[in-house]
Amino acid sequence: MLKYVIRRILLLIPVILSVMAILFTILYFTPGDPARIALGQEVTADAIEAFRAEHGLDDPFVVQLGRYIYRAVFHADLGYSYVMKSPVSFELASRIPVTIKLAFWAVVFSTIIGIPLGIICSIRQYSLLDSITTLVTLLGVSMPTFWTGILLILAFSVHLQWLPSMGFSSVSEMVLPIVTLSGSAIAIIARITRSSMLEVIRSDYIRTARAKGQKESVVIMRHALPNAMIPILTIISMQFGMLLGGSLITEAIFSISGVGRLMLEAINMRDYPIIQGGTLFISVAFCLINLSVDILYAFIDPRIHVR
Amino acid sequence: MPIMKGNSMLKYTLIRLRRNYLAIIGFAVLLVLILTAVFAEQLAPFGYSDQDYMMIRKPPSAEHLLGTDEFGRDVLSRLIFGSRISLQVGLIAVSISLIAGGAIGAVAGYFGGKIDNFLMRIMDVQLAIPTILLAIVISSALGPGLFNLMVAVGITSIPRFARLMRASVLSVKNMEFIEAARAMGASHLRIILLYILPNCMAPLIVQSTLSVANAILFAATLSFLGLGIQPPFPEWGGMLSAARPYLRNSAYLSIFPGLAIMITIVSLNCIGDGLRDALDPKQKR
Repeated sequence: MLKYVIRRILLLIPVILSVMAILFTILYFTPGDPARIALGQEVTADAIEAFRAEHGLDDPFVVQLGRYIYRAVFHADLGYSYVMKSPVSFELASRIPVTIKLAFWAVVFSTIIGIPLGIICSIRQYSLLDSITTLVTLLGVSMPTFWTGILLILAFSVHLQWLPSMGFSSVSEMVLPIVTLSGSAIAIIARITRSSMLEVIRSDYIRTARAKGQKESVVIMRHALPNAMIPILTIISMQFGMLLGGSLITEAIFSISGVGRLMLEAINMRDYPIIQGGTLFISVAFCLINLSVDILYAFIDPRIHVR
Repeated sequence: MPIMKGNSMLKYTLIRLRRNYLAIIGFAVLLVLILTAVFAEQLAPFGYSDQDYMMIRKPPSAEHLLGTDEFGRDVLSRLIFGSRISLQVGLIAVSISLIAGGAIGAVAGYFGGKIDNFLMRIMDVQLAIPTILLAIVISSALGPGLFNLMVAVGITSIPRFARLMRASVLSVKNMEFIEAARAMGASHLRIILLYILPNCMAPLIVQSTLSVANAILFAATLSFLGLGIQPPFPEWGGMLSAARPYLRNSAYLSIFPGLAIMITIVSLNCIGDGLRDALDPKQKR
């Protein structure tokens, strides 16, 4: 077991290093001179030269890439934002808690709504509730996040005036962003839970459990649900990545100052080190979540780490 | 005879598909959308950039069925022309990921060994970056524009197609008919294209349909964030973004473009789900 965990952690290292290399490469070859971006258009060629030399921008690509990875790995230094005039890791650190809070609550919310919804639909297959849920989840996966957000603001902030449409510090401010971000995740989790449960409910051992006179609630919760959990867990961990990405849009709509909004501002300012750092942070978070879910599987299902 | 078999399989798929009313509705809606895009000039009552300063942000009326926007442009006409952009982006972006991902997956699965390992590790790395973020990074690197948007969206779903193709190739590559083809002296390319590919079509078709929906959604999202298509071109996501300041007084501006996106995505998702059930009867619903 320990060996499995260690092996999985070690396998993560090349992936993260490659992600860094890919992001660095994409943005390195993006048109736009960092020196010009930092200094503006009205500076002398000498000043540009000096700036390039000072920040090592004249070095060959491989040297710059190596330096970026070396500093990131050994000094937690993700570069320097020429636009904001401050280190990228510093800018990120102040924004990360908000984004994590948003994504975390969205996952919690979509799980506590999605799984029970899927279970109820699987028990009452083809009932009215099941049909309605199927239709609503179909709409849920097809709604663009930003449109969900706009509609929620329209209904609850503009018309009913129950909830604020901006910020993320008080509970009332947190409701709309979390619901917006969870929308499609609820739909997907409910769908997977339903189909996974349906498959398990039809199996022989469930019939046995019923035959021996077990209460229906015990059959569903104790016998069926644990075996249906693996695909549900997979989809939840995948959703976490989607939600981290989606938080970008949610943060933009609700003016929440998290990593996503920082990145969008950076895109407008062509502040590449921030874009690079923000994407890296979200990707690493995504990888770590997937890793922890994989390890969790191994605990739930002993067959996995044998393979 | 391969042709006979192809026909009957198509027939059975169609029969199964006909029973799925959601998929039929999806096909009907998609057909309407395609016709709208093709005949946009004839259908739209106004041009997509015709401005009327006497008619600024007027709610829906008999003359302007869905109202006018902040420049006095007819919303319905803009939505009609917008269908061109969305369908184009969906189609071309998915073609990019289908061709690139399909080729990578086919080569990896067919040759196996080190090539397989190398290609699939690259795909794994790409999968480590959440797709919407990758699309944002690539499109901010490429800059705005229709073609760049298609490329950015297309690249993001390459790994999905590569994995799917690889799995399908692996499932057929050791069968006797492949060996027979090899014994007849068929080249690798010929074996992949003529013998293996037809056997991988079902999952690829399903994935493509669902990916078109996803591509349209991504394109709208990128345009909403200001990274995709620039005004005055009527992209649905871009229209939503432009309507945001007027949410309080002209809510219809924020409702109709979103509705257009949702109807398109719902119909494609219905078709995709229907095709999956029709092409793979073993799978339970």
